Amino acid sequence: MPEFLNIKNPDARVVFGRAMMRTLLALAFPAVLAAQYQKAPPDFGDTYSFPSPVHPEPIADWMRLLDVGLLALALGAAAWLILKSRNRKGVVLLSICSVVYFGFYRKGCVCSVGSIQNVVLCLVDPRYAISFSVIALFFLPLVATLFFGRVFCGGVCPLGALQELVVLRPVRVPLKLDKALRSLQFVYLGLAVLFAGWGLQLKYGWLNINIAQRFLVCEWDPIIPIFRRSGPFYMVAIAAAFILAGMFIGRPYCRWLCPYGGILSLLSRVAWKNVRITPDKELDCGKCEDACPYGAILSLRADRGLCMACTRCYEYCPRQKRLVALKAGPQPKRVPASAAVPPRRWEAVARTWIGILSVVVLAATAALMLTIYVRAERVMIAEKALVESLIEKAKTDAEVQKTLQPELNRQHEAGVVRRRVYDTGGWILIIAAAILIAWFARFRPKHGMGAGAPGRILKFIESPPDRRR
Amino acid sequence: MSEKKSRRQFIDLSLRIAGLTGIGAATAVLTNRAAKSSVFQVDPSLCAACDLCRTSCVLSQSAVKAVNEFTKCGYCQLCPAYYDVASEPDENGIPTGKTCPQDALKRRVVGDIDEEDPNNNYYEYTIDEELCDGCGKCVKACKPPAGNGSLRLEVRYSRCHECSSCAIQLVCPEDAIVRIPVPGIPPAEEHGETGEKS
Repeated sequence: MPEFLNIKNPDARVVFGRAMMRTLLALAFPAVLAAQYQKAPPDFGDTYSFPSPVHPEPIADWMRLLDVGLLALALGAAAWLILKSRNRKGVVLLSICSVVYFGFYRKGCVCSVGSIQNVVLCLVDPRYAISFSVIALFFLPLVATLFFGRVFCGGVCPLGALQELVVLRPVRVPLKLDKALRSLQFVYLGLAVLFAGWGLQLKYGWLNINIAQRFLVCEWDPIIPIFRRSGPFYMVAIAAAFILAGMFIGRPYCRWLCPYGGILSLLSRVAWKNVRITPDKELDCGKCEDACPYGAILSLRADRGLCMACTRCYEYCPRQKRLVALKAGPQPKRVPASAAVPPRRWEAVARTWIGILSVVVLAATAALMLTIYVRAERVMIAEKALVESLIEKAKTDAEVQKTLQPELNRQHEAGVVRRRVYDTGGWILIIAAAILIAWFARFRPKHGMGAGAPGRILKFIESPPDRRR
Repeated sequence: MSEKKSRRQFIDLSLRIAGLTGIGAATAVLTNRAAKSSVFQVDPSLCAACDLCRTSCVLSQSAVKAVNEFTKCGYCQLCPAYYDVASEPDENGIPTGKTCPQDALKRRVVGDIDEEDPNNNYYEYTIDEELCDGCGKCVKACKPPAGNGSLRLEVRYSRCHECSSCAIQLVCPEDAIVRIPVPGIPPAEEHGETGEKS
């Protein structure tokens, strides 16, 4: 390095500095940059040491394998709870655990439903190497279904579990309509496979479709925006619509759209052990006929392909009731209903207010977020356009730059605040919705389809048990 | 009745065995092709800093952030990524505008500090990740020949949800979002150059 450029020499520094100043004032800007331009970092000597780069680690491989292990465990637990133990409370608890871990913690990705696409892509594209955990994620539920029926759908799949928990007053879908809608599952499966492997390139006369390879199931997944607590507007809207519909229809995605469910329904038909409404013998009494919110009970039997093993129907079977009574053993004399203690006043008031509060908080947060979003997309677009046009002017006019800067700062601040609102709002929405759904237990039908609240887990929030049962 | 049942059972059993065999075969084929988990990352040699990373990520604040490769950075005082060189200069000739719209590119003076003449100093440039939104304006400004190309956009796995299908990859005009094996160090850094120099 030439002596006069050596910054350790104090005289040289002054000389160099002055030379720099002159260069700056004399030349146009690109030339100024050229004078300053360093091809490599300067030699700092020991006055400065380079910071080591910070690279946050992605999810470690062993954590992915842990997920696979937990999936296997959950499948085993589901099979035992549904087929052997015949315990609906257990199934609901397993569903909640699955929603919390596979759903909210793992953000619901990679899921078994989407893994179809990963498998197809791996088979089609030699550049894509699938990972072991995704292979396991795809095949474990298939194997479990061949042995035990759709226990994956019953207690393990986080998408299904979330829809399970929001079922409120399901309607009975006419059989023909149900059949027609079910065929959509396989259409979607075909499309998912097509787009995952190849995409769609079609040229015929005026028709010109050119869609690149993409994961269709992931892009249109109605539940994943809830788990991620974010997403493009169309995905969040679809999610809200499916949750609302799920309160009155009963797992619409699982029954009519899930491509993986289509495969499982075919495999479940030849399963080794499958769901039986009765623990031992069939009475053909017809008491279970109205039990299934998903239309899976046909001719007084649980349809092997359709039944998603939610175990709601068990409570309706007289043989099951007998079994439960036998297991419980002799009971002490029951207190007659008239002598029962009514809930204390503060309990009743608190219950009502929890419900009202959660509705208000939910509606207010949703309205706020929607307003902010619409405002950002509509109103602020115009403001942004104005600022953009002024920025051009500001490049040559310093006065404009001075008045523009505070407006730019204001817009950036607003952007940061917006993001915070979305993030916090997402959490509030989920918690309020969860409380509200639990509170809805009082509206669940006492008899017929959809009856049998999901376990008495949140005992305090639910209304007192119906003594007439 | 029992004959029907045993025929049904036979069919079920054979289909079950066929299913299991199929699953076993498919598992074998796929395991052959399997590799370690992969994650999405930006390939800096392809990235055009087009601003789509900021808007396409499923998260409200994109998981893609600008990162400065210190071993490539020139530590220049008149950094084109820091100052907007097209803006109006002040009386000293320093541009008044900043490139980063979020003011996320921060700098501090390092090395031997010249009190009298700020033009003689070297500056360490870092990105405040809380403010950076992945728009890539600094990356674009730093590209050769104006700069060294030390600034690049990078997927930060502390924020990235590692979706199976990256929403940014679908829209990237340069196909710069690539799958690389875990731990997902961007391609540029793989060729030698560690952090420590002195």
